[in-house]
Amino acid sequence: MSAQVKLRTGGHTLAVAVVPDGGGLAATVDGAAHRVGTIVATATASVGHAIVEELVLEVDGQPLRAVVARTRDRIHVAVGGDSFVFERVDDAHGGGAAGAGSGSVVAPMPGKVVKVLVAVGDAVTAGQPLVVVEAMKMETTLAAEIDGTVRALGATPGAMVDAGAVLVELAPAAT
Amino acid sequence: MQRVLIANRGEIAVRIARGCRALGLSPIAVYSEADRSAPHVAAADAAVCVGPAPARESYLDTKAILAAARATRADAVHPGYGFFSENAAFAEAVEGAGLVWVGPPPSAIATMGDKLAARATAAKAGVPLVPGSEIAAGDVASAKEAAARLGYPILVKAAAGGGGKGMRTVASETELAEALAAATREATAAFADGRVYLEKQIVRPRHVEVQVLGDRHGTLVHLGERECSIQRRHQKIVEETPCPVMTPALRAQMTDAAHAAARAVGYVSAGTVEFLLDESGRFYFLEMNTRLQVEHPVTELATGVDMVVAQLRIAAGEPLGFAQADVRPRGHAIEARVYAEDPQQSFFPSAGPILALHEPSGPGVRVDSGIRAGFTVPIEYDPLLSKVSAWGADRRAAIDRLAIALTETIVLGPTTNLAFLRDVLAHAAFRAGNTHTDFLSEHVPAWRPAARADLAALVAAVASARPAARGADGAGLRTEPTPWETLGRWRLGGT
Repeated sequence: MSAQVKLRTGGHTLAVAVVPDGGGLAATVDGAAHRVGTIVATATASVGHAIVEELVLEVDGQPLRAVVARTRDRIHVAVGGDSFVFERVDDAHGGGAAGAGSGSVVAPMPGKVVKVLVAVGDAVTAGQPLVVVEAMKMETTLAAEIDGTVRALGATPGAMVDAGAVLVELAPAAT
Repeated sequence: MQRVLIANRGEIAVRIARGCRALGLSPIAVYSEADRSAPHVAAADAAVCVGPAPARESYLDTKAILAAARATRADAVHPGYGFFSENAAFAEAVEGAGLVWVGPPPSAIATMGDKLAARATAAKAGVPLVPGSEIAAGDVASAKEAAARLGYPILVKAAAGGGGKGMRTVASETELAEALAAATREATAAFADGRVYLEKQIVRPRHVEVQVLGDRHGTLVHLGERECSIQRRHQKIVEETPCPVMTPALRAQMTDAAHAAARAVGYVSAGTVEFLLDESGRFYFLEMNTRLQVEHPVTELATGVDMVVAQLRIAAGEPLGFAQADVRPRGHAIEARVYAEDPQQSFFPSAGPILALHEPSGPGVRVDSGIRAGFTVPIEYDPLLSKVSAWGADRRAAIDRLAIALTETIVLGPTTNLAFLRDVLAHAAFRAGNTHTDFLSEHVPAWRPAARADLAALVAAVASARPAARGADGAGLRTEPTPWETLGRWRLGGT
């Protein structure tokens, strides 16, 4: 049995594979091999919709302490003083094409929709501003990542939106 | 004075509640609907909801705050910083309601709050000013004349300004008219007061400020200086005391000037006189903040003075109880502000639930926090989460302790500036004390996190494969099965 997962963070996707090996796990991260020994979890808790665990692992012979918080679509990891947020990339749903830009424009954080600059059916080009959202009195403009046509709008001016809410859905332009 | 209403939120409301308790006073919290489960509410003996999330309808609603004070039989109001802290009309309303205002006289707030009046007051008191000029509304011709006299680059600033609003840098005359118009527009929108003035831009200045503390019996002391040059968007993120280039002679001059400025407005309570220090060692009055500062912990760590306690005792009419000669700062103290913001996206604020939180500790480490795990950071307010401060025998020791403390700190959920702060502290120019207010744009212009995600991705994959991923069976201390057993239930990917 092999186990593998693709995790995306900050525009990079990492392929992680783990297989049982002796008393532990043999793992590869983007091809680089690691050995994972003992895994102990302390203090497992539910915080809102997240499952939060403190893990003590042995990686390549070194003890490692990590805090992991898992929500439905994200894995937050704090290790060695740094924090990362991973999204699972699902190959079955064309996640492999994500590098070329996504057809969905999502709210980067909870906030208020200030302006919607496009309408359903509009043709847009990559980089074109689509929606202006505001959080903590700062405005940010969200732009199209790809050329395409506006298929659906999930944003109306004045509406409060959650992080990850799909604000604009684009149908990619035919190539 | 027995019950103190804290008209604020977040870490400073928690801090003030501690000060109240140190004196046996009962702290009372106010909160908006977004802050119902905030730590500052739990830190108080009583709490009143003062309105919905937008600050204007809650923390900035005078009637609601005063009604909360009446309902809880509070006899004093501490404003913290921000919100109502530098609002003379609110201070007057508090006093008008028969309550003690824990702050300076409203007249001092009003004078120092108007930058032009503050400049005039400081000048009269013999305090050196940044060369500048008042501008009549729309008079571009005389503005050009004044700017030429001052010499470019210049700053256009709002008379009612603060926090960088209504402020523009002008490199040459061609940009002046447009900058004046933009600053006037912004100032009108932010402060309902479009008056602007010109200031010569000091090249590579340090931001150095002097903490003063005065009672109602004529005692006015200073608690030394702080350097706060590390700023983004005109807001400080790292502050320390003493200033790395301070000399006894310069300190004597600067604290004398601060003293004179504070005296000139009959200052009482805690206040801060801000200066720009140029590369030749000349300094210029910038403004006076008539409130407790965010960065007050570094002064407390170095002097041992509890400034909130001092404010409360002064407000109750007690004498300060110590003189200038009793103030003997020790060692070095430094603070870093932990913000929910993304240093890779122009420090754009972040928000949302705190999923996991670990705050640091250790010798010489102090944490002033306004969050806890499970609390949702609201989008409506300043995204300051906590302040981590460290004291050391010297500057290097203090910075080392702070760097370790920031490495220990874990905030999962919103994006934070933790890694950015650590990189600033590690920067050679910062370590050498070569700081100025453009430090970040000069030395860390396009910051990217140095850490590689490989190890974290491995941890994420291992954690995802564990049975607890689907269990969600609540809190508890457990020993988990070996990887052998764990892998039997692996569900991610693969075939």
